[in-house]
Amino acid sequence: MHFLVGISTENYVILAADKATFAYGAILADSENDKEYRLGKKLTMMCIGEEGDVAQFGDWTKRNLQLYSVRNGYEVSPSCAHHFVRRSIAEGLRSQDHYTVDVLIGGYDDKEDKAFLGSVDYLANGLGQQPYLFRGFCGRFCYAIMDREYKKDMTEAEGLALMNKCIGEAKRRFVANIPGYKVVIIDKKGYRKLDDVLF
Amino acid sequence: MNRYDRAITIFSPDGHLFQVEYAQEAVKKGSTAVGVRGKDCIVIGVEKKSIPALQDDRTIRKIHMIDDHVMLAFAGLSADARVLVDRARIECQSYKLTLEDPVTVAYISRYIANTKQRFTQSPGRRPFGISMLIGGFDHDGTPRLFKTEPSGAYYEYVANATGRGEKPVREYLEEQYSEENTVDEATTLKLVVKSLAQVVPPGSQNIEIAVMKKVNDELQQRVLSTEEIEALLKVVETERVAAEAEEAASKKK
Repeated sequence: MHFLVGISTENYVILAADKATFAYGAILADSENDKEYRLGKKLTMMCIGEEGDVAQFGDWTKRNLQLYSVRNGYEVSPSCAHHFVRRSIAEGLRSQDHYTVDVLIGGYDDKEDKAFLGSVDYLANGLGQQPYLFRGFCGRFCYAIMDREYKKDMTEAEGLALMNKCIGEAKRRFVANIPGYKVVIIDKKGYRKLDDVLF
Repeated sequence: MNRYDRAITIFSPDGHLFQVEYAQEAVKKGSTAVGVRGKDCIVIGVEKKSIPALQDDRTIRKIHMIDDHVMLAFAGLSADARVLVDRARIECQSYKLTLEDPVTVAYISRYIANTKQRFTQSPGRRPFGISMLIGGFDHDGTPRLFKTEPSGAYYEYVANATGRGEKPVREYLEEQYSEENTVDEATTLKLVVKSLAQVVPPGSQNIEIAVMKKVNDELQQRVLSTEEIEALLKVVETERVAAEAEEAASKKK
């Protein structure tokens, strides 16, 4: 039901997440649900799945990565965070209980000097350093859009236009009423929250 | 000594816990640490031991960040401090995980003090040989400073010291601390450097100072560079020389 969008080039990564909470799979219960967990100054994670698992896993990840940065005096790199998240979900999977969550991780790696976009699903399949990623049903047709229109050297405006196109397509094709999307962008200069996409 | 200093859980007939008192002695041997609460900032300064020529000086840290808004300095056994600092860091994150809010300085000080106290009351353990100065900001934006002792006692202060030079530095602070001397970062820094100068030989490079303050609603913590500390020491030194000259001149009259 939910929808996460991630688009990245060498220079920036754009992440968008719908703001809906669905109840009983049929009712829109909340239109201001924030699915974002900030993991660092230039690192963030969008998380969907079982509501309770999302909150629990999101907070837990955030606090663990923060503990890492306080202990060591520097933050983890995006690819390191991605590895940690993937492993945490994989370990959960092999224990008594597990987290049913799908995440997109976006950030800017100052060491490598390029943006990072990766995903992990609830079966701990990890994809790292991807140009574009979606989570949720709407991704099925958005991958088609991106395959055709993605360019490695898109400007930020072009990237945002493409994201809007994907969100627009989701609005047109998908049965559920998704009230709006939260959009953030991370580049060399840092993290910015952009205006929500509302309908 | 007699047998009362064997187990920490046993009182001596005159009401002392010898092991705890010995831990306090370890603190008195430690290098000096000073903490001062300014009007809108917290300054913590420490005297560093001289570093062996072949050692990487980054591995000697006496001022630690516990969370984004709390830092601490210690005097005593470094190894004990390392462990306690890590416990405090975990508690800070754990607190945020369960209660969403960041810890208050009072809370984390009490947590550290509690941990220390537990180690004075169960068999087979040894007290932490450290005293800590914990400084930081509460969520309402007020700066706070606490000190914990090996016994588990903790108190709040506006300024205090610990370690080898505790007594002279504290006496200096008691004399010199005033609202004018702590109105902003610059004056508070000067007060800290002056108080450290009571025990650290002039021109010494072995000082580490950290400042935490609010800039546009955002907390900033920084450790002063060697150049900044040198400049501060120079200012303090010239002031001292000037004061002495003045005194000498007034005596001549």
